[in-house]
Amino acid sequence: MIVLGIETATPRVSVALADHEGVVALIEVDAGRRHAETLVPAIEFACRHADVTLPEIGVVAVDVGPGLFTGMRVGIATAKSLAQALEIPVVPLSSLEVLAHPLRHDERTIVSVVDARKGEIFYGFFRAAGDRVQALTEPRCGSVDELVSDLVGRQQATVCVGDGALRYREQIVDGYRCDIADAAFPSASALVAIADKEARVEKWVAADDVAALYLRKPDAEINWSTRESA
Amino acid sequence: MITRTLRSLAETHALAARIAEFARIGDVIVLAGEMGAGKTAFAQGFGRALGVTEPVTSPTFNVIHSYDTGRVRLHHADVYRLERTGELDDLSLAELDDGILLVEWGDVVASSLGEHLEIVLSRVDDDDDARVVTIKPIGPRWNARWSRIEAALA
Amino acid sequence: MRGLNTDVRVNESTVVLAIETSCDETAAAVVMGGTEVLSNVVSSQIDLHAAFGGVVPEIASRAHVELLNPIVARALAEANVDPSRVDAVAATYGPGLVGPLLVGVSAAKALAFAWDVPFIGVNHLEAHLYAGLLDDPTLPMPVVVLLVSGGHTMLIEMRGPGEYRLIGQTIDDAAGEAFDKVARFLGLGYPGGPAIDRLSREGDANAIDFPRAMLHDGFDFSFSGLKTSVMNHVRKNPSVATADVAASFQAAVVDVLVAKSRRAADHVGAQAMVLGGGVAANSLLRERFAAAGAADGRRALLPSREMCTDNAAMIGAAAWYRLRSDGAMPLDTGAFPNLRLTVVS
Repeated sequence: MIVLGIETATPRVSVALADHEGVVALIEVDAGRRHAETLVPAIEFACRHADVTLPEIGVVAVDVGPGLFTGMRVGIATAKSLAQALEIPVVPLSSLEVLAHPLRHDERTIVSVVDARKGEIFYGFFRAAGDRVQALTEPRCGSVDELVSDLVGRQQATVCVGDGALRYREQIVDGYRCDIADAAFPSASALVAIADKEARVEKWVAADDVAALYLRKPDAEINWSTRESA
Repeated sequence: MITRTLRSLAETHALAARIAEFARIGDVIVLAGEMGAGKTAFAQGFGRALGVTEPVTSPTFNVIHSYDTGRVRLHHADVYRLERTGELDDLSLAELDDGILLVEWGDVVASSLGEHLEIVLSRVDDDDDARVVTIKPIGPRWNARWSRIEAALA
Repeated sequence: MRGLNTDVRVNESTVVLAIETSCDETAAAVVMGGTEVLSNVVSSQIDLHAAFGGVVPEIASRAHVELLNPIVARALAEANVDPSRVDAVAATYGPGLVGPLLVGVSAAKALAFAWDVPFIGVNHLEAHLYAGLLDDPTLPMPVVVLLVSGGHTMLIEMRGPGEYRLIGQTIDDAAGEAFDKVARFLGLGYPGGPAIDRLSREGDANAIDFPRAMLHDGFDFSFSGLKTSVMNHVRKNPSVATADVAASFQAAVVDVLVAKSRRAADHVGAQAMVLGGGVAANSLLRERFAAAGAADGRRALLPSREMCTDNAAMIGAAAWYRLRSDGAMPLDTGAFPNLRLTVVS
């Protein structure tokens, strides 16, 4: 069974195909906000060159966030519709787990940090657990200061990963001494690796039950006194 | 800060045209004032001065209208329909730096818009057609041009 | 190449699955041969947005992602069409709100790719022109279409499928936007159109003589000044009956819309006038539009409310003609929030 992975929760579009042996195709495009233009052609290209026909795909894995809303929605809408048309299930995965996955053999605490813009980050704590990472916290949306106070509270050897960690490197390291990994974005290669394990035990959902993880804590409501009094 | 009284729609258009002369690619101009104060009218005068030939219409419904004159791009946004500051991110106004960006009702989210020129239009009690406009530079980008703008509007 | 299957014969039995998500309606339809609507499913999000007095882009985008696939499944089921019978998948790709558009375009491209059939991006404005043809395929051409909605106010001459010309449009606010803003100002809630329509029945349309901007001047519209006049009047006359304001405002809008439609129809020698867009649900506009047609000896077509408002059937109809004339569109097609009505003559 082939797993198709769709990763669009960050500025990167990443598509992978995997069989039980591992990844057979991986395409990554960093082209800003062109997720909708890039995604389906990338899937088509991956299938064509990996010699995978659509009926061979048994499951679609998709990053459901937290991440950039517009990009996430392109990936989720595409994954749901592919699953609907091909009549196959979906494995929804968190961007934070996908980001942490390549560090699964690291003994340190892993913190995935996705840039949520406007000075905020999406983040979650993980630790190695066999061939996967295990979440230690629920995904959160907060300020870098909140992350730092979480780090200080735990006092563990830690590696942070993600575009949020790179963007706020100094602020994080100044607040709590830890390492920052090089990777900026989650990759569909990690996504399909995790999804393959999930699919083996049929941990999947129907297309209709895939929900995005927006996670943005309620924004400040715009003070619209002017509009109301007009 | 400059304050002027505009006696008619034509004067609003003319003032907008004067300010358009000072606008550069990457600029943000915030248009504030209650409904009917003349924000879209300002945008129309501004767009025409830049060379936009098609009608500059209210962007309330589609949130952003973009125009390309061949020489410059004008992005005309309206945040009237937004409810939460986070929705601004979805509009990626910051990515519209390939042209000049006008933001109607932009005052309510001004802190998210960075450096900008703030234009506030208000009604005058005894005259339906007149408006008072105040213009204020926010940030060094506009401060650098301020004395020339003051001179031009004097 | 998969999903770029352009070798499709377009004929009366060609089945298009169409998706519409340009604003706050999640819609899907199955249309055969460009005219036969096999199903037409709409799930309005109006309740989600009512609390905010207008469509909120982020809320609309989230709802489309949740609702779209079940709506597509329902459209196929109601049409009694197996997916293997779908010859093409279409979606609105502009104009509209970018977030909502991206959901529909992404879904449609994925379906087209998975089924190995053409994808067609449809211009939402062009699609509205086909609503009249869906209602009556024998409609005599040319026709003048008055398209009035929250985002648009246009007069378009249509000589046949794919052949149209913009005659006039609003130079500031759309008529529907004026309804929504005046309703908000009067405290009538959202959506403003139905609220004003309802209240107007209790009011005197002659109570206040609001301006009819550019009534005798060309084919363009202007509603910004009217909106301001309403506010000025209420500010100066705080005790005025709200029903009278609503009725007088509505009459001013409808007067201009109908007068210009008639003039445009005369100007191009139209056989018929067709009403389209969300404001076409307004009861005074429907009544007066029909009366104008009768007075001029010209057909006045008032498509059903389902066809006037945003729906996917019209997208399916437009897609069929587009597929026939231009073939499939590439899978790297994105969304175009500012898409204009391309004039074909």
